[in-house]
Parts: sequence; structure tokens; C-alpha cells
Amino acid sequence: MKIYISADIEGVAGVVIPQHQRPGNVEYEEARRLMTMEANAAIAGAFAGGATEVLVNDSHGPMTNILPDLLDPRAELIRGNIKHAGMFAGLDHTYSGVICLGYHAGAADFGVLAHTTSDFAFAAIRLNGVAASEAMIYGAYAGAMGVPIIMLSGDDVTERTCGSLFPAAQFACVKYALGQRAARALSPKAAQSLIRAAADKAVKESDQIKPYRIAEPCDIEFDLTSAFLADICATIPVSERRSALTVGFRTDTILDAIRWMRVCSSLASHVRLSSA
Amino acid sequence: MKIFISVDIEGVAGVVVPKQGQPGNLEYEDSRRLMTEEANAAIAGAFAGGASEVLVNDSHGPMVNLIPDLLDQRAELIRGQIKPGSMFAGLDDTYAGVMCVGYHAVAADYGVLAHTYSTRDFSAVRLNGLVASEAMLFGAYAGAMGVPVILLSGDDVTARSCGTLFPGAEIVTVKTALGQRAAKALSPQMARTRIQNAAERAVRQVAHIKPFTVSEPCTLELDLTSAVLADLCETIPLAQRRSALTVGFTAETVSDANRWVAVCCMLGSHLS
Repeated sequence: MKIYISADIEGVAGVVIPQHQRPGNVEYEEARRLMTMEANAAIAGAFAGGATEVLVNDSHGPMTNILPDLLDPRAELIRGNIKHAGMFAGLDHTYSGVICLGYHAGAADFGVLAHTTSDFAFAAIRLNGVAASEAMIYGAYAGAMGVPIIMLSGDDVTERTCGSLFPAAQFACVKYALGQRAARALSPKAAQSLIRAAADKAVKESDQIKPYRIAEPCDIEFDLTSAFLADICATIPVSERRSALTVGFRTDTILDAIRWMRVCSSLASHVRLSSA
Repeated sequence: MKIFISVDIEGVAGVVVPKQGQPGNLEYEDSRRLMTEEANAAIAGAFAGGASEVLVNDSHGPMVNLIPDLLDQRAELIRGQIKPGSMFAGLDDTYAGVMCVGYHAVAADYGVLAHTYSTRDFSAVRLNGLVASEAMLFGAYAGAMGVPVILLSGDDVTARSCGTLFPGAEIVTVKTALGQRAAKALSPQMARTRIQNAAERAVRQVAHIKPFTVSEPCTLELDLTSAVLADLCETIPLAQRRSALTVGFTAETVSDANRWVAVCCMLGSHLS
């Protein structure tokens, strides 16, 4: 049985400030180690639950966060970016389930470091009219290939807002948000134990868990953080300018919706350069 | 009669090095003044030839180069970006003709500061299989509205490689390329006189000049400067990866083709 693990960083126990997310900070070096150890806990749980093969995809920012030396040698690791399907790169229908580790709440919501893909680019994202988190968007991508989300970890807001999309999945709540940049957290060791146990249970139950699906074709809508960025995104021939700050796309598949999200997120870098 | 003038900077007499096109350099302040004066020459010629209305579109880089205080007050000016139509923003079918002032040769060709859109991002651009300059891409955009390019100014390579697309147009050579960053140029005064005279002739002859058109839908191909930029451009759902460095698009219109070029160019900022 093949299990896929997508590892983000904002939902890791102990991570609370932007410096934890960004290479070049001392705080980041600490956070990436914690992220790696949570990935190890999920890998151990997956094998204990019956997995024969585990693939880990580094899913945060530059996607070179996980420390390969410290990662459980039984797992293979996808590093780097740009890669097809981003946070779920390498996933296909041969996997029995996906574990979303260190995930976080969506843009414009409560929750530690809540955002969807990029807080620099997006004030909000809606998928088929519903406020969308990364867990929802990528969960629907996995669902379209028939693969269920079997477990998530993150803070209590993530559990409340994203966990409900995957009712049969395990949720390891490793911290409680006190604000955008503050949380009460389990100790790393306790968080890792919780994750390991949840992964073990999730893999054992994976054949009972249904994929999460959304209607296709779909509509993805971005509230950009500036009208200038909306102007830039509206340069895309098939885009629809829906308001000064909103651009939308109609797509045949959830994969294409994800691709537009990544294109618009990358285009935001042009704002950074133009404003320098 | 309404005349539209798109003004770029690399083909202005006296401009030869990148700093002259980049804000923040002393050299830039000098060249934007030269650019403004060449625009004035085109405006004066246009009115002398019978134009009743002239619209100038600042078409270089940040598109805030032309100095409004120095620009002939009879013309209106489009500044800034992002704007629909980009180098030809504001153009519509009510214009009798377009002048391309200060234009330059294409990426991967000889010619002073030759490039297409962005040296950072593109090593070549092809439209319907043909190597495309900015003059070609936007000339075809104007042509699709039935508006002809009636004047083109720049260096001798631009005249040779782009001028042939517009057989009825006035072609003004204000400098001779000696390399990518070297040229033998007319004095600014002489360049302006030639531009003014050519603009006047162009406007008088405008009724005889045919629009330049390309077949639509069209095929756009971009040779990117790196495979990681090609990876990023391939993220676009409608992109077709043709090789490690090449991404293509099928565009219903040349306007859409130009938009895809702009999108990929802006994506290049993500890697900077």
C-alpha cells in the first residue's frame, strides 16, 4: 500500500511567526527541523499502519525545507519547485491515501499564519463559490483521481475549517491558535506521538475513507491584494475581471484551477519588482 | 484625422547602452529627454501632414519615460502600466495610422539593444512560425483593427528587419548599429528633422498604406532564457511545452498572443 505525505510548515507545533517560514532566519532552521520530525512521525505511523511505500512531498515555499539527512530513510522525498501539481506533486491514483501534515487555515480566516498559497497575492480564494483553503483545493485534486485525504495535522482552526471536509480522516491537532502569530502548542514530542498514532490509524482505515470531490468544471476566484495585481492577472487572455480586486477563471478540471492559482501567485512577484 | 504614436527608447538616436533605458541612472535622464524630443518631432510632422488629433503612448519599460512638460501640448499622453494593449494601449479603429518611434530589432538579431519584450525572459519570440519583433507583434495587433503602421524609426537593423513588414510606411534610420551597444548616430537635431519630415509624408499618404495583418488564430512560441522559467510558464493551463526551453500557445487573436507574451514576461519576475 502506497501512502503520500504532503508536508507544509505553518501547522507544525511550535511554528507561529513568519520568520519560522522563511529561509535565511535562525528561526527557520529550528522550524524546518520540527517539520522534518513531524514528517518522520507520519512516516513511522504510515508504515506501522501497513504502508509498504511512502512518498513525502516538501510543500512549503521553496519546497526545500525538509532535512534529507534527518528524514526516515524508508521514505522517498520530492524537493524543489517549480513542479507539476505543486503541493501534491507526484501523486497519482496508485496511492491509497494522502496525509496533509503541518497544514493551516485558509486566507481571511482565524488560525496561525492562515493564508491560501500566498498572503502576498491573495486576500481570499473561492472554489466553486466557497472560501478555499489549500487542504480543500489540493484535497479536491486528490479526490479527482480517487485518492482520499486520510489524515491532516495543524491547529484547531484548521481542524474546524478544513477537517470537516474530510469527516472520516484523522486530525492531529498540535496547537491552539491565540492569534495569527500566537498559539498554545503541544510539546514537539507530544505532537509527534499524536501524529504517529493518527497516521497509523488513518492508514489502517484508509480503505473505508471516501475521496473528497468537487464539481468539475469548476470556477476559481481570486481576491487579489491590490488592484494593480488584478490588472496583471487580467492580462491573462482567459481571465475574467469580476471587480477591481477580483479575477476569476472557469476551468475544466481542479488541476487547471490549481494551475491558475499558481500562475497568479507567481505573477505577484512582478508587483514586488515593479514597486522596488 | 487621428494619429497614434507609440514611443520606445532603444531606437532613439544617441541611445546605445542599457543604462539609458533604466530609471535611476544619470544616463537615463538624458535619453528620456531625447526620446521626448523625437516624439515631438513625430507629433509636429503628424499635425503638419493633416492630423487633427494625436495620441502618444509611452511604450518603454515602466512606461513613464516621456517628460510631460516637454511634450508638444497638442498631443495627449498615455503613461504607466499595466494597460490593455500595452505598447499600443488606447489604439482603436478610429485611428488612421500608427507611428512606431524609437523602435528596435528583435531578440537574437543584430541591432542596438535588440530584444523582444525582455532580454531577461526571452531569447526568441515566434508568431505563426516567424521570428517576431515588437513592431511585428503590435503592428499585427493594429492591423487586426484595420489600422496601418505608417512610420517606423530606429536603427538600420530595425529598418531592414522590421521595415519590410510595412512596405508603404516611412522608415527613418536615425543610427547605424556597430554592435549590440554601439552605433554611429545622426545628431539629435538631424534625427528629429528626418522624423518630422517622414511623419508629415506618412500622414499625407496614410490612405494608401495597407494594414499589416497575420492569420488568426495564431501560434505563439516563446524561447525562454532558462528551463525553470519554461517550467513556470508551463504552469499556465493553456501552455504547450515544446522543448526544455520553449513554450507555445494557440491564440484566437494576435491581441491574445500579445497578452500571453506579457504574462510570461511578468512570470519572469518570479525568478528574479
